[in-house]
Amino acid sequence: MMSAGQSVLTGWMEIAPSAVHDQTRREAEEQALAALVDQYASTLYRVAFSVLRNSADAEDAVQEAFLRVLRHRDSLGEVRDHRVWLVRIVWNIVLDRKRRAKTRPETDDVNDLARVLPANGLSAEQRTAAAQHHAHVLACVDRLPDKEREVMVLSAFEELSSVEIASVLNITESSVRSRLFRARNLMAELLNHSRSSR
Amino acid sequence: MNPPRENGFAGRKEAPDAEETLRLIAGLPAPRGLEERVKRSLRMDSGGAKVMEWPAEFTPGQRWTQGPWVRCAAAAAIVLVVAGGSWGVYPHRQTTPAPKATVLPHIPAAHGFENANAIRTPQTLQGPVVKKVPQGTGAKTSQKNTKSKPHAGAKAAGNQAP
Repeated sequence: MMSAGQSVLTGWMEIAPSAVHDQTRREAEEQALAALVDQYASTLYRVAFSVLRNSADAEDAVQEAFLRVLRHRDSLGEVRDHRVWLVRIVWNIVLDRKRRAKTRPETDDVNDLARVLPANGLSAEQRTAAAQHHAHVLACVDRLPDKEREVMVLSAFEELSSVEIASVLNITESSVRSRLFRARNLMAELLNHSRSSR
Repeated sequence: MNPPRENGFAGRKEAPDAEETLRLIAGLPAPRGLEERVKRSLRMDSGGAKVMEWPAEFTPGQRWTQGPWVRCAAAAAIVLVVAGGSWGVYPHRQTTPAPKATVLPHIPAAHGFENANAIRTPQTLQGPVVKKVPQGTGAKTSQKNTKSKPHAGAKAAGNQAP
């Protein structure tokens, strides 16, 4: 017969889930995480690369994003759109890294851009000219204000709608459109100014 | 050729240079073996996390908390900590002593109720009045009377009410 005090203690300190249940749940979470890696690692890499413009840094950012997911795997079931959620995670990581680094991206170098960008049957001279052009455009993009630049970079991803971009940046869809409009005008001004000054 | 865009770029006939460049970079393929490397790092991290976990005999699955002695010891430890903490606080508590006398603040007299420098003199008993005795005639008799009996008239005068 259990005394009253003992029964109170038992109810107070008992831990309900069993070891078998925990093991099953952990395996299911690991499988779900592996599926997320297979499905979205490439997208996250491209998002990271578009900001960092460095292959190794972009891969590090993707790994860090999935490590964060691993640490918060209990909340995986509450996420509605995994793709947008993951893009938001990696987006915050790369912005934080870029803010901390404050260094010139590696691919600002024309030779690096020529190596990274697709050739499409161009000659060596044409490839160099194209790389110089892209480097110049990217330099102008970097001169945009943060808000406009972020929207412009994300809008270059075909798989992200304006609603999803708004969700990643935690703003409204109308803000995305207005920022994109301003970014285009600013970019046109910057490019015209640089052409006229040449 | 790029497929139709969802985010507003599709309808533009003359795409700006910047958008073209950004789209080119956004479409770059991921390096080979990226997924495997990410999975490997995840496995390493989850393995490292197990090192930091509780030893096997203390994991919740082992129900170590179901032992009555362990539970009682834990409860006793909690009670001791609480009691010790409160006892550590109690001796340092300073009670404010009760005031022995109440000191009233000085309140200046209000206008219209001043005493106009009037001094109140208390009513006191008047002292005894001694009648003057004519000199020469009754000097001897008075000396005798003072020794033998007090004079009746003097007694009456000494007891005179104010």
